[in-house]
Amino acid sequence: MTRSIERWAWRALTPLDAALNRLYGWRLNPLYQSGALATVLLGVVLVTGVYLLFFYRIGAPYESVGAISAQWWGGAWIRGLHRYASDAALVAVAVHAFRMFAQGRSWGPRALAWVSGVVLVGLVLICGWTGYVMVWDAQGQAIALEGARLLDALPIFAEPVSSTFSGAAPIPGQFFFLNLFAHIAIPIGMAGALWLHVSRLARPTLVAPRRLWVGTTVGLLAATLVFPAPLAEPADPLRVPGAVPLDVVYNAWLPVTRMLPAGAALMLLVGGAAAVMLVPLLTRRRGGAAPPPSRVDERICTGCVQCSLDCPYEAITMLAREGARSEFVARVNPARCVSCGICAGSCAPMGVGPANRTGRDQLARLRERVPRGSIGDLEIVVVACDRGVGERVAAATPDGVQMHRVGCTGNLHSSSIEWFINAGAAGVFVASCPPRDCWNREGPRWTEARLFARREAELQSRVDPRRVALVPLAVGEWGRIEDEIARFAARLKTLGSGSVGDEMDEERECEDPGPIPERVLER
Amino acid sequence: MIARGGLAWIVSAALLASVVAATQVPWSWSEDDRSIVRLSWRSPVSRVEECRPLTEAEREGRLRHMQRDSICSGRSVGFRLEVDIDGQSMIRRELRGSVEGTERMSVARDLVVEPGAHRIAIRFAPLEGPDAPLTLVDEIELGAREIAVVTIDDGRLLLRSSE
Repeated sequence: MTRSIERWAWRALTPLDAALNRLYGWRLNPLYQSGALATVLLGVVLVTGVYLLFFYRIGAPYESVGAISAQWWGGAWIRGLHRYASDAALVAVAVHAFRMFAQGRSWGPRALAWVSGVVLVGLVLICGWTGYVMVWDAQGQAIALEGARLLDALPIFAEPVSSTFSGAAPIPGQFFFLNLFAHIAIPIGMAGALWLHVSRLARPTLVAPRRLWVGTTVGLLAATLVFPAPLAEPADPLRVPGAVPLDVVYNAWLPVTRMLPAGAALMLLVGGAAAVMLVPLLTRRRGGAAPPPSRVDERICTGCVQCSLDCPYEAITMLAREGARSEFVARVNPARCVSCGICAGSCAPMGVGPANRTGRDQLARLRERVPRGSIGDLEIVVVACDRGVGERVAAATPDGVQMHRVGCTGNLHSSSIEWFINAGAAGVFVASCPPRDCWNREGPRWTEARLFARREAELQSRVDPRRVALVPLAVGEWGRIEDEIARFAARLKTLGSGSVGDEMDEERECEDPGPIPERVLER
Repeated sequence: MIARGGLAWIVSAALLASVVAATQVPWSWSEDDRSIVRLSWRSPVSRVEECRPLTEAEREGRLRHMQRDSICSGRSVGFRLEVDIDGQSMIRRELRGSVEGTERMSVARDLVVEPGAHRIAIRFAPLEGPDAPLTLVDEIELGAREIAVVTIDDGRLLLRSSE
């Protein structure tokens, strides 16, 4: 059931990705950058919130917000930006979560990120609700009244929370103080949850590309100037709220729970939150469907650290060893390994990687399937990422092009490329996912560095780099596939024959890694 | 390229506008303009204790340190609440302290009425003990969606409204 929802989500996401890629290009596709965009927008909320704090008064909440809104030179647009940025941040968070779910990146080693992400969403929501209550207009009153009604369904309060807003007595100042305190303290908790959220990632991307986040912020600012943040009628405990301008991004639950008895509404909300929290359990792959974690062949490992440096999930540490061929040996933590295979592409002597996907496994398969001299002189080999455009590239592959699909281009060992050239290929065209849409985070990045920037496990100098192309192709950029391959073929024609001879060395070792970084050492 | 750039601007503006629009969707908290008479007060609850001497057999059956002369049991005194609006009986029920030992009873009830003039009669009486019942008989003019709150202030039932 959950897996079929996951597949449906993936089918829904792909055309959206394609449309926005066509519109903005993959570098600025907001769907690819949703998580980083949310972080930046929450930063905007934080900065604008500090300004608003100077003018907010607990003793006169509505009046002080009214005074802020009357500051045409500052408060009005800062308040608008504060509100709209918090809404946009929540939308970005929702897109990010949907994307991770649709791509099946919500279980196993990623479960911690998912669960902490759900906690983060909860904190963002609570922070938003307290923010609305701070204003103490009709919407703030509606949130307070309905929230109190739901809380009263819990048998934990000696006296009904609702009585605070009954109108029998003025609302105590402590209520607004506590509300303000929560509004300020929750972001501190959010910082902790965010740290946990990215704690299993090496080099987490917290900031979206500048053009995207500046553009979004300026756009929201412009929206604020055109449509100032609304301030509804003041809350009146002695009047039933009438028309309320509802923020459905934060408060879509209000009309739903209003129709239900408090207990049922509470169960609906708690049940929904629990279902989302349990997604890692519901979507986990079991048995043969679960990809195996990487393993280290300790007889081959030279302790060079490169796999540990390249692992996007900090799943590999270096362990001291004695009486062996090196001072250190790599160790994979299976609880963190997502089986991306990027370590296999990083290991010069090909001693690490998931079962059947190490560099040696790749070469063994190629020996069998693409024997030396089996490729015609002018033939191009296209290697495409299966998760991204692989299927489409396979369909669009013209004559004279041989197609190979890999789970992630980051898994591709440079020796495999050399093998293709040795086998007679004129060149190798690697079609990767866009860097920000790599399911394994850093596949295209490390592939590019290994092929063209001499990062360890580099493409050997005996291979002419002009015979290799790495092109990020995003879904939706179908028209580019044939164009890029044709352009590459034209370039190859000017280079002549491509064979590099018999010098392939499977036993090559890493260069001297120098001092080993502290963070990758296991004690 | 220019056409795509223009479309990108338009879509960006539409996306931002949809976020802005989503922050202020018109919605009505209540379906109608009816008013409310709200009962909202907390009342101290008296406690009644009844004691009787322990029989010899009961004393013998107890541990030495628990062999007292008498045994007592206590209970909170309940209240009877009667509410009439415009002569029509709205509430007739007995209430007891919801949480043992809190010694306070919360009354929270909303009675929906049509806007206009109403005569409200309330009697809140302890079921036993010497305390006198609290009563309120008052008339009020309620506007659309207006709330009149009946509360206890200074030991008396009191009607509050926005007027």
